Amino acid sequence: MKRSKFKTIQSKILVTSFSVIFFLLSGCSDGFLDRQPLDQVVSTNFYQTEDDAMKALISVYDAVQYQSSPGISWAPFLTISDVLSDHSYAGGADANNGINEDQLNTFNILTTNVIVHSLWAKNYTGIYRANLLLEKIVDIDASEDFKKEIVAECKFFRAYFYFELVKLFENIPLLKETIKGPSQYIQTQNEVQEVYNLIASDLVEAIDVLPEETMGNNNGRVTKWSAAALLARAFLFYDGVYGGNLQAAEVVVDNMKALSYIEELIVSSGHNLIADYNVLFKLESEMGSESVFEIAHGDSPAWWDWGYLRGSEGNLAAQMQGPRVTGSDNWNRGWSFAPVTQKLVDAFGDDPRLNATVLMESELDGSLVKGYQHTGYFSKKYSSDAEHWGADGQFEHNRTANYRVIRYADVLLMAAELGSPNAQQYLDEVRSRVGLESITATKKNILKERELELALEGIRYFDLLRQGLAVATTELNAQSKIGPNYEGDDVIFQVTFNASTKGFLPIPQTEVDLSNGTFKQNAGY
Amino acid sequence: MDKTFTILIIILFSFNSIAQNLTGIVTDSENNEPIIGANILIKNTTRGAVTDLDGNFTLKDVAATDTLIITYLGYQTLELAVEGKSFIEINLNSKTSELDEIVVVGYGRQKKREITGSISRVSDETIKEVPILRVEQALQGRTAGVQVTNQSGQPGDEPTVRIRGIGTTGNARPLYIVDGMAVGGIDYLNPGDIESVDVLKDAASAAIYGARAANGVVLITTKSGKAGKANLSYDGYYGWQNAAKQLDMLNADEYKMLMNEGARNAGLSEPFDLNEISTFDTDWQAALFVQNAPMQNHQLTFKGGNEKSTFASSLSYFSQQGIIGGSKSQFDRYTARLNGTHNINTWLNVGNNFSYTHLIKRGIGTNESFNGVFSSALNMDPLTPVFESDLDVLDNPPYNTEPVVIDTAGNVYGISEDVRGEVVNPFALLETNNNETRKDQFVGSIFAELEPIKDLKFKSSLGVDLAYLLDDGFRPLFYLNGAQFNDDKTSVNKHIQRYFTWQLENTLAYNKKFGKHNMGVLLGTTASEFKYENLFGFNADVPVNDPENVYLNLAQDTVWVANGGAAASAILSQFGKLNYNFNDKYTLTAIVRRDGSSRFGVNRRFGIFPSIGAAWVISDETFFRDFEALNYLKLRASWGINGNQEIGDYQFVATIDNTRGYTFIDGRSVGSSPLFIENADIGWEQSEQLDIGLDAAFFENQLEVTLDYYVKTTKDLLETIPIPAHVGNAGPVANVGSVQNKGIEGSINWRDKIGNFKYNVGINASFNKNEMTKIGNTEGILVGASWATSGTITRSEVGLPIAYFLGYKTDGIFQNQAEVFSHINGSGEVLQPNAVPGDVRFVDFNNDGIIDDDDRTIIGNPTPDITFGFNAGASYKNFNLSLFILGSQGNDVFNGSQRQDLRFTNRTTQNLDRWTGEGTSTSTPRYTWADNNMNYRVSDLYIEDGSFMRLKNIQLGYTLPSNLTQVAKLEKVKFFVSAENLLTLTKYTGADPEIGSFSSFDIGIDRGIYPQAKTLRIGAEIIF
Repeated sequence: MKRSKFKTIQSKILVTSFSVIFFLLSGCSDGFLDRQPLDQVVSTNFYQTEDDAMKALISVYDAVQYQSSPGISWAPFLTISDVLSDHSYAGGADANNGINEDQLNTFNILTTNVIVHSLWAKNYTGIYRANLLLEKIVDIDASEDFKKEIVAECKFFRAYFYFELVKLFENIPLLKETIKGPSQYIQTQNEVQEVYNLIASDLVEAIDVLPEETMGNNNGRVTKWSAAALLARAFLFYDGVYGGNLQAAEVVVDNMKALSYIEELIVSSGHNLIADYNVLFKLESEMGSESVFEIAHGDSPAWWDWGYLRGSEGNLAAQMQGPRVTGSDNWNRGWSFAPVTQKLVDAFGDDPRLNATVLMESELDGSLVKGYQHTGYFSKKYSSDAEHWGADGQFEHNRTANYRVIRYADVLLMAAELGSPNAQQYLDEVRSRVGLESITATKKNILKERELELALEGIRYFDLLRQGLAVATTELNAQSKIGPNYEGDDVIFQVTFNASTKGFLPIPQTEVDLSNGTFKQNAGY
Repeated sequence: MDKTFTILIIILFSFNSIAQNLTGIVTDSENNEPIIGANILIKNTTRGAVTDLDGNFTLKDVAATDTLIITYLGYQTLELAVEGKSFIEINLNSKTSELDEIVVVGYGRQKKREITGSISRVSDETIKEVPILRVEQALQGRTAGVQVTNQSGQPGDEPTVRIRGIGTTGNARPLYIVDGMAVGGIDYLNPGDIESVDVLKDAASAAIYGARAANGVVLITTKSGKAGKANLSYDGYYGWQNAAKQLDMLNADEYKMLMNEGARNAGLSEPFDLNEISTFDTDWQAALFVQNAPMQNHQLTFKGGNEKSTFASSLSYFSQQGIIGGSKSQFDRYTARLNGTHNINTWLNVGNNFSYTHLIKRGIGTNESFNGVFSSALNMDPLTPVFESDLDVLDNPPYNTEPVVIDTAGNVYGISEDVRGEVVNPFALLETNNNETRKDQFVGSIFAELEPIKDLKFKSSLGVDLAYLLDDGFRPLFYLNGAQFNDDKTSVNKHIQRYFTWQLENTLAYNKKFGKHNMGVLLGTTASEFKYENLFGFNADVPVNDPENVYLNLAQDTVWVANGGAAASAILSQFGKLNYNFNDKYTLTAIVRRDGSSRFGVNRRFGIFPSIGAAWVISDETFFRDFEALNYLKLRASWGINGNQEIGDYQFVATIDNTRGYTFIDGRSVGSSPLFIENADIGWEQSEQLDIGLDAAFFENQLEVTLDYYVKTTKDLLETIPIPAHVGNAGPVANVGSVQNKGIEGSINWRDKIGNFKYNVGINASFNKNEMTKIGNTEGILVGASWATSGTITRSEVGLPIAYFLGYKTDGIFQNQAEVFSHINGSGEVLQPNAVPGDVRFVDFNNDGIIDDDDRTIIGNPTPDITFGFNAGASYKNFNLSLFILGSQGNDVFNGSQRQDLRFTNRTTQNLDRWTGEGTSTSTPRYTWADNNMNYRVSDLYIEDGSFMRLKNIQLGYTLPSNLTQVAKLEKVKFFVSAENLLTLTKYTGADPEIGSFSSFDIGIDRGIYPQAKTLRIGAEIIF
């Protein structure tokens, strides 16, 4: 009797304690089960300090100098833009080597073209990183000024990436924030206007915040002037192709507004033309007074890994466009992509800028292996010249040439084209630098000036497209002209612009396939 | 027990009459051990007795004409007439029916009669029969539905265990629970310590292990002591292992002839003068296989206890050398164990299971195209000697210029003049292999069981599993050939790893019988945490060339590498089980477990795993009484959902990559962004299974039959899939894809006794069909394993088995030029323009007019249709004989042990039957060094039938008569002689058809597999 009573008490204690254990375990589970990697920083605990924010910002800068996508292809925007234009052919070692470039050059572009996919992937990588930092910056422990500047830089780059995408592909999905999980993978393409409006509003916001410095005085980081110039370029392209104004939140970006930003740049930025056109693309001019927006390349860390080219800081365009020369102290083993057309050489005539723009076969020492579509002309602006050789690592990955995306000369010409009261002065300024006489600042003359002044800088193709498909067709088809130094079959130079595509690339097939039917292929493909 | 005693006392005092007293002893008829606690009842009375610790009993007032009824759980009830005796010896036969045994289930034990799912059991007696190093091997061929394949013949390699097929493209290993503790690996366990292994095959039985049960659950129970006399026993054996088979390779003359032909057919000059007598004709295999490689096991067990406490402790030593490499491929294990239970008072029991293991493992590559020891032996030319002793040769390069490999006696290993690439002298390769792993592991648990009121039991247990691993590596200077050498610096590395798991479990069980209703309720919680840490160090330039004595501090270079990391995971669960049985006839079981795992994203951190099962003992129905032969029939059905959480840690979170960077004017700055995007939705793979089973027994359990049908579908397989590029980062692992296994498995056992001769035979077989039912990427394909230089040879595709062999179909050999020209496509173009007579005719499988990669199709399936085991045992007086056969039917093997892409490699004698002219062969192409037709591309010519039947074990034992042993004061002495892998019947031409899975995609690929040994053993069992 006594014992059973004792047992009853025991059982009460027991059942109670069991219930407590049971419910405690159910309740406290969140802390117990919330495990984060112990020996690695993860996204959930990384974005804390100003230092973290800077590293995150640098990852956005990192993407802007990407010229390849892992497992897809090499695709420097600069080289590919010129291959599309009437200034360069495809090139490469042989017909197979440059097969993807050749599709772009001749406008027989397959939807599976890997370069096309690479360009798509690169820009969305940048957009993701910018969006991610825009989301994370809110909770980072930092001063408001610091945050504002980070936000402005992210928006500048987001605009840059979107502009590159939309002018290449036209119909693209617009992501203003990161994708949060598999349920959001499927997106739809947005209206072109929406994309350009985001570009405009991002840039207007950046213009208001970014420092009023030249890049050279801002440690190579983007400035208010970079944003102003990029906005003018975007407006001109939009206005040329679609016609009309952009809506940047409350601000309407029309001709006058776009112009006013760069007029301010011209007046008060401190940017100038570098006196000698011949040193523009030399190391000495990097981040110089003419560089309104410049993407840096370098040889640190010395890169060896062919499997992950994104890890390198080198300029792949310079590697691709360089002549295949061995045994020379001045040029080393480029891949002879994007050989320059006879048409461009002819366009220069006796324009003194030819010498600083086009590298003639006759200038080469050492032994030259002639590549596919060998014309005897190479780009001199971005090439495998000795000055830009990397100090260490695999030489292909470490070319140090910075990519001058927007030069002050370009800004002057844009201002002239946008109808600045000082248009004539601006045009004269550009021409007089190279000792050319003044010509009337007509739109035609300004555009002709752009062709030569900015040749082989990745600008020409889009300048053609914004002049309308008729101009584009005439000019692009005309590049088939064969020069005296050409070697090979006639037929491979034949280029017929496919106007039904309006000059846009196809949406990469993989992306169409993965979209579950929501992505519509571009017209003409 | 005390209840029985009370009744007994009442009985004894109530009937105090004057008949004579009877004493006796009750023993087990098998081993003559006393049975403690057997009930003896005088028929037609309520009077009886219970045997004491020595099996003795006393009954008062027994009439000469009385009959005794002797009952004991697990034994056949016996009726015995007293016939006026005053002392009586009673032998009880154990109820050997498997259908009546008690099996271990999740968190408890249950009568097999009440089981609603599908559980297979292997007992210690069976485990003892075959010399196994690892517990998994005890299941091989013994349990229907469990496919166990030795990965190779290397001692200590983990065998592949697949319960009811491969249900995942990830980790398909079952969950091992040892004495209630979930353990990561079971190489620490001494098989001699095991009492039983119970395999939960169906989802309903396994559901109580929730998110870890999808690949099946193996419950291992270690031995415990019994109340009664303490005993000390020794078990041990010593064995000699030898190669079971040698491939027929070309001898020197045949080799030279064939190489000349290969060169001639390629338009090259012949490398050998056939008239010259070869200096060497090395049989590399014969030289390589170790003769009588030793294997031994010794164990001391001390067991005993009284009604209050029991204990079982053991010490064991196991050592096995490989038949390839000897001490370079060796496994040694020392174990110590102490299990105990203590009855503190009427309501409290406590107990413990402690084990400590020290093991040393040295291994070589077991199935490698490149740099495999055995594959080198198969491909090395016979003209090269094992040792080069010609001084003229030794005075020339490379011998006098390079760090050529020398054995401990100073002999120089020969280097081939012709064979290149990764094919090298296998002895020299072995000599350079200096990897060793040492492990110290403690696995222990303590538990307390309280019974505050009758039938209500609370059990709390705490277990830990702590292991330290130390890996050593030493890379000496060596020169194997022009492609394989290290003439720079020696190097040394050490890697120390610590694994620690703790597990706390609390269960509350209540069992109650109300009339014919029998109810059981179980509620429980588990919390478990796993932690890992490691430290790795490396440096080069060690002046010592003795791998046994190389330490990091000796290294003199400045290229120090040190790194280390950590990981942790946790599981938290609640579970419940409801068992209801009516009249021993109808059983219903329902289980639900809620698992929370730190491995899953926040959105899917918890999962619910339900199951339900029912059983009906039809033979207990009144309408069934007419079927006399069939004495037992039970129908079972169960359904449940299990999970698989083996996806690695932290898959839900994105790690930050610091390799981003940008060059500002002041230099390069480091940038950081996530390596891949987060997937907070990541969760377990989910496996749903339906099982329908039947158990039947005929002729008073002489014949027993079990049959099961199951359909198991695994959904949400975890894969990294391509995601749209606009996401902006690499994709995470996500739940996509599904796979289905369905099959039938069954076993039939027969036993009989004719006088002193007892025998039993049994067979079990499993038929399983495996099919991918969904793959969540655009291509609908998962790329699988690759072979040598040929790239992918297996892959997964919807509608086909999980890893099928991919290659070209062939259609014989072109006998003449006319046949080449007539092998054309629809437009009349020759399909193989590069072919000449003697080349292989490939099939334009997709009929598109060209023969290219798209013509590759399924050419074989590595997964067997049927796996089976056959066992038989017989005993006569003191002798016993057992044999055990296992086999596999319908599986293909990819025979890739020969390097077809290299010139000068040796070939099998099968090549003597090659095509040499019209009509000479329709299956083996001509031999040429210029393979323009790509005869050796991956095709069905590599696929062979891998079905086999293997006499795994045959054993003869002799137990010394008890009168002899009693003189020596011994309880039992038994000797045995045993042979393993004595005979293998197979059509497979390679070294061994039993090839393990190296992943879910890498099954049955012979890259020169380390074959299993043929073993002869003698052993003894002595109980003191």
